[in-house]
Amino acid sequence: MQGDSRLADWRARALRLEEQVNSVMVSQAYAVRRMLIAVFARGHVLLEGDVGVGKTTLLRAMARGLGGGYERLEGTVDLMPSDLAYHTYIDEDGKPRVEPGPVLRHGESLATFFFNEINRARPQVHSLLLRLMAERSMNAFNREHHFPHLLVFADRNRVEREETFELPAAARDRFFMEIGIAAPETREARRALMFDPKFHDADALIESVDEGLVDYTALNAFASELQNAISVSETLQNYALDLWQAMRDPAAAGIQLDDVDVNTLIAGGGSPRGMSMMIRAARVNAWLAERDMVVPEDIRAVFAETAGHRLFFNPIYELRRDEIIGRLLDAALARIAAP
Amino acid sequence: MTHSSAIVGSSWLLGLMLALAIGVTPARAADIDVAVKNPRAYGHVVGDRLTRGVRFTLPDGYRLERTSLPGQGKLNYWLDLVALSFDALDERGGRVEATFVYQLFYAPLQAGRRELPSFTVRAVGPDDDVIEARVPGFAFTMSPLIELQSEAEFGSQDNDIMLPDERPGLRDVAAPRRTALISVVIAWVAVLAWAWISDRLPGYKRGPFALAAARLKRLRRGTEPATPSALRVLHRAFDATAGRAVFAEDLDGFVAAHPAFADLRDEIDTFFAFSRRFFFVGVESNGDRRHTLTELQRLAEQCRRREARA
Repeated sequence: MQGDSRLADWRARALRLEEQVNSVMVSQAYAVRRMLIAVFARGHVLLEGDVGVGKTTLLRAMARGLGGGYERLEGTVDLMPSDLAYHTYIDEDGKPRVEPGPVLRHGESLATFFFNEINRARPQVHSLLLRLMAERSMNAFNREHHFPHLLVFADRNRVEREETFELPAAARDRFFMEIGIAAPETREARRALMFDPKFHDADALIESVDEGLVDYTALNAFASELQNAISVSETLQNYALDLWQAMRDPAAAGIQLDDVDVNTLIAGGGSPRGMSMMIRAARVNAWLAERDMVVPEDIRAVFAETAGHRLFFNPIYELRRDEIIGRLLDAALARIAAP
Repeated sequence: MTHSSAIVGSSWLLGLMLALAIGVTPARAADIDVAVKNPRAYGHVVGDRLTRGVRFTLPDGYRLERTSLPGQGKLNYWLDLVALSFDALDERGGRVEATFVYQLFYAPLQAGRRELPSFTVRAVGPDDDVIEARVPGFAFTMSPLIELQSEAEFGSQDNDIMLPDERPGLRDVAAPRRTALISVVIAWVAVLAWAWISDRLPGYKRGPFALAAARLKRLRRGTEPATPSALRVLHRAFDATAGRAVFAEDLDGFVAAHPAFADLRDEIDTFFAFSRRFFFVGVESNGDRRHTLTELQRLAEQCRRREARA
């Protein structure tokens, strides 16, 4: 009973955070909900979207609601791994100084780390970031630093391909979700963004989110409590396994796509880690919907974000990835029935 | 003595007699058993070949002496033995099938009796003892090629020597034809029944709910709780109607796309809510199984009617 009231209490706070972030963002309810799921499943997120659609604003609003330290780093071609840990400069006396860099600056209270344009950074930086994500720790100043409350958000620029380093499959697999953020579609939303002065000052806008709505230091404990509280029936397990199988072998599941040979489409992916992350996200979604069990709709709600970026196509299809992946995921969802 | 014991008594007696009969005439161990397969015994004319098969079954250890058989060649002025072949039916030569082909060179003026000659065969035993058996002759009738009639002549209008060819007789096919017709009808009925059940009847496609209703009807009737398979039957009907997997959250879209089911919305909602509890809560024996098979059948039937109307 106490557990139930804790779940309900946390849910109320989570929904308030979602509501406040939604009031800052225009027509991004879908992405905000996915971000919320990632936060409560303690998973790192790869954001995807055009320039200037509000990724940073969304992240800052979310970070403010969570409280804790927020850091942001721009990926560039000459960024070195040490730049994450150390900040070097010449002080007033002309002496070189080394201070903690962006990752270390907040110490253990670092809660949100935003790596902008991750594919502009070199693979050395990627590997350091991957360790930071997987182990939530970093070696600097001759000792190991831990960041137990850290969530990493990364943004990938998909417009340019020059001087970029594409994330390898292993790196993409470590991200819990890949969330696409698109500019608002409706004319009304676009009108508001263009003419409503409220949206011109991002700083003031973010101020409107209550600071520390959700206690970031308690999130880890609550997330595991939440995972244990939501049940998954055998029928649903079968559904998830069927979906997984359909992703690995679409032809055998009877999936057909126009203009794509599904027999040769999939080169790999659909890792067990990814599938377990999918169920984690589905449990959070069920909790947000006030249910104590996962239903197929929960899996469907997080399927594209948790499974899409883990599938790797054959090279001839990889360039058309954006166009094919949505159709493939949709066909799998349409094809696989439960119960 | 009752009737049944009389039967028992008489069968006793019969058994005793049988045993005696076997005992009195035991098959002698050292006999050659001869079984002859003769050709037909009539209607032979000059030049015909007669094939006669003789099967010799020898006692253990005996071998047939080939020289005791008639040799190939001219037997007498009207009979040749044109071919003689042996076929051992077992490895030790204990059973031999001999085939004799005779050719007739006798030209009778009228039908008459002839006989293939009998002969005696010998077999040699393990101790060089000799046993014999007689192959009986074979009597048959030979006929002239053409009937001898002084007043008949070739090509005569009134009395030709040659009779017109007999037309081949027709076999009675009424019974086989009836059997074949019945078989064809049964096969067609079976194919149609299969096509109906599996919804492959060309030109008459039943909707998903019609199939589901039929399938549910085939399940046992009663008020017993709905089984997972019965629930799945109905789920598949919704999936097939929508063309994709339908879940509880999709019902708004489903009803919008298929307005015929709009007035059943409450029943459909109840069904999906029940199914969700049933399959996903994980506790399946919570005593909350409100849907019985009868209710599922009723919902399927209602949906079938809407589907037929749409």
